[in-house]
Amino acid sequence: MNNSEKLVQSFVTALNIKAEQVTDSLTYNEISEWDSTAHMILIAELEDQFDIMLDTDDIIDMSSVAEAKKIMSKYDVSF
Amino acid sequence: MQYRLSGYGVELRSVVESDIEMLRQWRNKDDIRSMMKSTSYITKEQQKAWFDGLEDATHVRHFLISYKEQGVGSATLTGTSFVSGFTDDLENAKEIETGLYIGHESYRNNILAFAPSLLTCDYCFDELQVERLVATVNSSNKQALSYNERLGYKKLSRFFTEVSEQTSSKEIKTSRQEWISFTLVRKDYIEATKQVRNLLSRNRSR
Repeated sequence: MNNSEKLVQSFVTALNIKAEQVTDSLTYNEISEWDSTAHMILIAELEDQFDIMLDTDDIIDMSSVAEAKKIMSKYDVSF
Repeated sequence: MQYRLSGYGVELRSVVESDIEMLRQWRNKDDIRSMMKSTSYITKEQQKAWFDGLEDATHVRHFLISYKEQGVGSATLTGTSFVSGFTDDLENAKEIETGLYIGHESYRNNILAFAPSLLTCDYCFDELQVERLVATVNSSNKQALSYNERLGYKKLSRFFTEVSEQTSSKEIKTSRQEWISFTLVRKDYIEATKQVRNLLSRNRSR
């Protein structure tokens, strides 16, 4: 899997949604599946998939798929 | 007296006069105002009078929530006796009512709201040593209902209020609002929030 596929897979697993729903514009709380519990699972999935450790500000700021890509790039993950 | 709390990536400090216009703008937003017990529009004069009245108040503390050195919302702690309905001095209160909203548009739909709640819960349970926290939520505010349950709050009761709002110079609209009362004890808070507390207490690495 490339990084984009890994990112989509992380959202699919954590939020229990379809891959087609994972678009840049998808935001936290926009769908019922992306609530606070799913957000915590998502963080764990991303950290596992990309072998990184996100800091608190990044966990808070990760409020959309687009924002997730931006944050991941700070950890040298390119899309 | 000025109070300052810090943790989970946010800072809470006592509201000062230069904050009150920003707070008023947030509080008057339709979607925030409509979820308050008092839904009326707050004028500048009313806001100033409210702030002036806080000087000697010992039963309540109003905080400005800051994230990355930017004001993002409001948190309020009120000492209250559940049985009598009278307010208590915060330092001696057995029970405190919590109130919170995020006003900054960039953070309205964000996990950030958990941070000031965790900070105030820690402060109330560990420093003020209260027995329980209480919160009252409008029953139509599904997000806040779910949010309180994620913090470990348990539903206690429900009640109704009549809200009157002047919709034009001649018309006053009255509606019936349903409210849910929640209560939170330290044990339930610690159990319910273990994971989110861990996530939001990581150090800043950059």
